Amino acid sequence: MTDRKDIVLTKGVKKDYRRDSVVVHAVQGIDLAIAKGEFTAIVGPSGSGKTTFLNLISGLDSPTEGDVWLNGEHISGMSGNQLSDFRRDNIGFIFQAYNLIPVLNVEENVEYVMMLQGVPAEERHRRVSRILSDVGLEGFNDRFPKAISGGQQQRVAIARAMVTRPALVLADEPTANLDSKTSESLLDMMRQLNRDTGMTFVFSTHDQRVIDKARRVIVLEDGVNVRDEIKE
Amino acid sequence: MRFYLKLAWRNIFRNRRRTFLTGLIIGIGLAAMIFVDAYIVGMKDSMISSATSSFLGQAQIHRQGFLDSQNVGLTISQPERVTEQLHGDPDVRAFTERTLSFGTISAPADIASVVIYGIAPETEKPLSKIDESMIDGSYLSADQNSSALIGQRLAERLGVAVGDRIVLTVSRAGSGELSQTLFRVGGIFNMHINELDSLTVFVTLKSAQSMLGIDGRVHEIAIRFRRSQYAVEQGTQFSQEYSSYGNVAETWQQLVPQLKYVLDMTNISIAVTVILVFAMIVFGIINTMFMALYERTFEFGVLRAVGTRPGRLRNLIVIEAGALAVYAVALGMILGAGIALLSSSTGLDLTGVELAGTTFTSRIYPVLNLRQFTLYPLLVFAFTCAVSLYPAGHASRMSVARALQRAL
Repeated sequence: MTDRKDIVLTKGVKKDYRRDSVVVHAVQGIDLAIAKGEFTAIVGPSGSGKTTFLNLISGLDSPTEGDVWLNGEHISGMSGNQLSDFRRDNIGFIFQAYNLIPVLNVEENVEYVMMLQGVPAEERHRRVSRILSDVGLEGFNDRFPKAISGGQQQRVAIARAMVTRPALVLADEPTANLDSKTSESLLDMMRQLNRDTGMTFVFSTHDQRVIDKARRVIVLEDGVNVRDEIKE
Repeated sequence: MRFYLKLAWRNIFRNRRRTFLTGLIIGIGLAAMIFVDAYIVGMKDSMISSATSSFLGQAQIHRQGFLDSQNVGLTISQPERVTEQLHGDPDVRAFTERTLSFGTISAPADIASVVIYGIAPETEKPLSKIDESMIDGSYLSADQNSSALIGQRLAERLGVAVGDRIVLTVSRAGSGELSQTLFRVGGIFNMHINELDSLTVFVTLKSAQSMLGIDGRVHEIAIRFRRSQYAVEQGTQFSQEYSSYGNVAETWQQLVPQLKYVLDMTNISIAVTVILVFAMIVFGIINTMFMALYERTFEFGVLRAVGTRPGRLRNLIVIEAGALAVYAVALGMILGAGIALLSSSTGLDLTGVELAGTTFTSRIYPVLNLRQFTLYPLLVFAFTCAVSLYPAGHASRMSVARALQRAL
């Protein structure tokens, strides 16, 4: 159904929801394909439908109309458990804040998804050590989220998102609560990981620094894709 | 599973104050259950003991139809065989023979209707507390055939004291002729049981048999078992064994049915207490769980987003409730045992209070038993887990996208 290179494919995707008896058309028929290995930013002003669209392509929400394929699978018709398993095996998530489970230490946060996958403890430990080293948090295994900075917490979130080597990493405003220096360093790190691993990154953002680093910029306005620019 | 247990245990201590307060509510509930149960068990024991140890005994044998008709001619059939069987019964600690008849007591100042018991003074001692209840004069001995013991209230009504003359009138067995015998008041007792203190006269068995014209025969055999629970556990078996030769054997449950009803009612009080406590637990847990749920909506959203199945999230919340229950149960058991032990030195003084025809003759002390520390904690634990299914189900059905929009 999808081109083998497309990680994300949407056809006529719409999402309406009701707010105080008013129907809001958050996403109004988006057709889009994101290829494997892209480093893409979905941008637009607040209320343009960025987060809603990200939720739809990740299976966190279901479209009112249209179809979504992710990594070749039609996810629009999946059940709750199927979607949970699909997200676990195919998508890594980075949110803007409060990303981590506060009662789990760094290692436990990073290995959580692998535990859900049933990866043996030894393998989990090996992979956690390597990814923490990749994100510059070697030796932070036993620290709890409240004992590390916001930037370090986002690094842990990146490590958690990437440790299972998912087909797609989705990041919703990942730099929103970080200072510019930390943001810059995190973006460089993700760009490098994108180059090294070939993993696909899709950001929802209105941070100009993210837009500058992205190889492709999709602009949404009022739930419609108004511009799609691929940088050379 | 181990991971989820660890996660649940850490989660309940995220907000220590809230966990402590919720644990305290549940713990106080459990402590109240343990405390009330301990006192009710103590009260039951005390009521049974008051009813059976004052005079009744734990079981009695009569001739069939005697208790209904009070016909003094209906004496126990083949008493030698019955007493021989009782002597050889390993569950019987003691027994005594009595006669029982209605009659009148006359003194110079007044006359009254009374119940006259003929008792064997020595074998009566382990069965009743007449000898311990003497407030004036002395207890009977087998050869004091012209001496009678009367209750304090009866003595006051008749205006008699120790040494005064009284006349007992009874109807003789067979002929029905009236028989009058002169006695002297040998002692006055106060057993704190209205019926005995105002309506009863004790004479020696030999005197009573002579008055009634039933030489060598008796109306009643009162029995005390080696274990106080024997009448409750083996009462039916006992009744079957001794209801022979035209006699009827009954335990205190049949002899004082109103006491049994009261004891059954106390089980209802326990049930009501349990329901009230569980209602407290329900609101405590639902409140805490929903507060935690709203505070952690985004976190649950993250867990669901990264691949946690709805059922697993529900299980995690139920395990958290279970961990909270373990904490609360430990708190409740310590509190419950502590309060019960503290009050066990003072007890509750209901001496003289009459309930269901039984007068409390001693203080009530709480009785701790295994059930209070196994069944109730297990019930609280299971109930807490069951109640948590409601908030847990709510959390697991939450829309992931909506949960992620709500960062408090």
